[in-house]
Amino acid sequence: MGRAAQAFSATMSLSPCSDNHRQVQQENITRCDEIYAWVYPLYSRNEGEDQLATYSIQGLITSEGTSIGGDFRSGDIILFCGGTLPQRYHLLQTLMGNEPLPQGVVRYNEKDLNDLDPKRRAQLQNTDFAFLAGNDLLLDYLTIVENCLVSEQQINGITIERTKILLRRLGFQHPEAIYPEKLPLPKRKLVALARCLRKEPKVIFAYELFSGLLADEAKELWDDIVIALADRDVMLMATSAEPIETLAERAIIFPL
Amino acid sequence: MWLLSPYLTRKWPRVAASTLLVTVATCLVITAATLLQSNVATTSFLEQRAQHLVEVTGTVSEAELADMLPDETIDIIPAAVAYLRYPLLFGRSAMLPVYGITEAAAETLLTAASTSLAADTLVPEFDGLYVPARFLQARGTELGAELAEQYLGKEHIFTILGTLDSAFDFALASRDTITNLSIQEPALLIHSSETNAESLEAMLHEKLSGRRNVRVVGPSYFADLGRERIREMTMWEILCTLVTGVVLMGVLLVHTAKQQLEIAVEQAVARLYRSGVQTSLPRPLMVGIVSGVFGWLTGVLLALAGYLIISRLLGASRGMVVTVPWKWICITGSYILVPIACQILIWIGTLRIDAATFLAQTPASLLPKPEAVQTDNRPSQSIGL
Repeated sequence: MGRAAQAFSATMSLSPCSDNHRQVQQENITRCDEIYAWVYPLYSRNEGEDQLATYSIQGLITSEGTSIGGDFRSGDIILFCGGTLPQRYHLLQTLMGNEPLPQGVVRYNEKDLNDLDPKRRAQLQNTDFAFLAGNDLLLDYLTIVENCLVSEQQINGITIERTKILLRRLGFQHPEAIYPEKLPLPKRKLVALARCLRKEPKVIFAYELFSGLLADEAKELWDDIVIALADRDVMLMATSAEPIETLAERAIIFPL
Repeated sequence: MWLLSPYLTRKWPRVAASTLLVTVATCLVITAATLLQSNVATTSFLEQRAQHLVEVTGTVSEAELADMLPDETIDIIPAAVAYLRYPLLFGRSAMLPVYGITEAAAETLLTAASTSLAADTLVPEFDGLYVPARFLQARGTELGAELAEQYLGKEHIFTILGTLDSAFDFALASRDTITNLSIQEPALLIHSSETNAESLEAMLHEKLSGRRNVRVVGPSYFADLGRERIREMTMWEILCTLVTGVVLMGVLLVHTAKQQLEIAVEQAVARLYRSGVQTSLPRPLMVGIVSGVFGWLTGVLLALAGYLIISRLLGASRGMVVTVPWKWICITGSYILVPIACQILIWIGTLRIDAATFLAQTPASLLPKPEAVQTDNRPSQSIGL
């Protein structure tokens, strides 16, 4: 039995949050030898669901022969685990629409990413998607507020204040005086997430979200992410070598 | 562009180091040029006598010259000419002419040289030297002292009798004193208060063109020598400038390479947010411009301050003429481009880092913290079930 399968079996013995989870369309899933997924719905949504962003993966077979599928929406945190580092990277790139789909369909808000012309797809990626790199990409000569604004050509008082508010919500008191070099790795990753959130994306693709973190640090980051995303209509798709315990205890397993 | 301000504020030691390197290189080259030029300037200064006197040596008599030169305002001063060593920098030396003249000719020469010294104040039958005050500084001697000079390995001792304050620098001795030296030659010194030295020299060249063993030494002769010296000096200065520039480039490249992580992160962020990788260029470019411009300006100011000190020291103690090397100040302006080029080279070099690799698995060499390395073989206690 492979590592992925072991993890799958182990998690199946736990009790998922049955009240909140949605039924996964198992018939669309063919097989999964390597990569497996965990889905964590932050909250149930009974009202105004039609306004939420949806992401649907049907029968997607990656270049490594892995087949995955499922429906997701805003408020879901999906963690793709297992496989190798390149497999996970290619999977994320495929889901972002950056790499062609060999087979299957990836729909975002009912639009087939494969059918979109490159210009339209790029526009969609620019407005709705954000990529959270494995490297936190923080500049040590900037405060965390400035780091959140680093991609902007011009900044003003309003954008600075909004960024400060965002960072304070994430637990950074006096963010204008905090430099990344003074922060532990989980907090640095949280700042990187805050930089993504400033763009108000609908979907965040996070590559190797917990890379380089010890178990305690990963849990700490996870808790912070849950707080950061709790009041936002944003979907987080992340890859990780392994899931974290907190997620395993509460998540719905996405059967692959 | 707004990144420049926090970078300069918070990374100022790094920018200051680049600036300092440009300053040192600029200051070094300008100071070297000042010293090299002082040799040439001092030699040229000593040769200014050609603007007043044309020397004719060889097989031509005073009477023949008097026939050739119709103008009655032209003075012909018979003299014996020897040379005194005038020490310069870097082991070089120039030659100060010492004219051995008779008492009868002394007045004409002193008038031609516009000296304040009257012929009747010269020591009668003098056997010593009258020299310019600058020469005393150059040789580190004083009035009344004895001056030793080597001629063909034989040492001659002169007594310094007085100083000459004249329109051009030369030393004066009695004709007998000079004719007794092992190296000297008889010369006719031509001076005219109405005809300039260039015209006199041209006229003499024309009249004596067919005469062998006759040499006319005037302004054009020294101009040729001066051009040769400037060529030699320019070669050394170019070498100095190039070597300094190459060393500066190398050191700055190593120094700038330390910023590669920042540049890589800025490029990655620019790519990530689809603003185009070129948007990450202005910050390092501006840092290069700031380092280059401020470094050069500071270097020039320091070099000019150094020039004032050098000119005082060398002028007072060595009798040297020191000039500001404006040409080389302009040439060192190219050093402004060095930190800019380094920043651009490092920026271009950073482009070669595979973006996907960088975004995902930051190369170990660029990682700020070793424990943040992404591996699939992490310790079992890291994360997991």
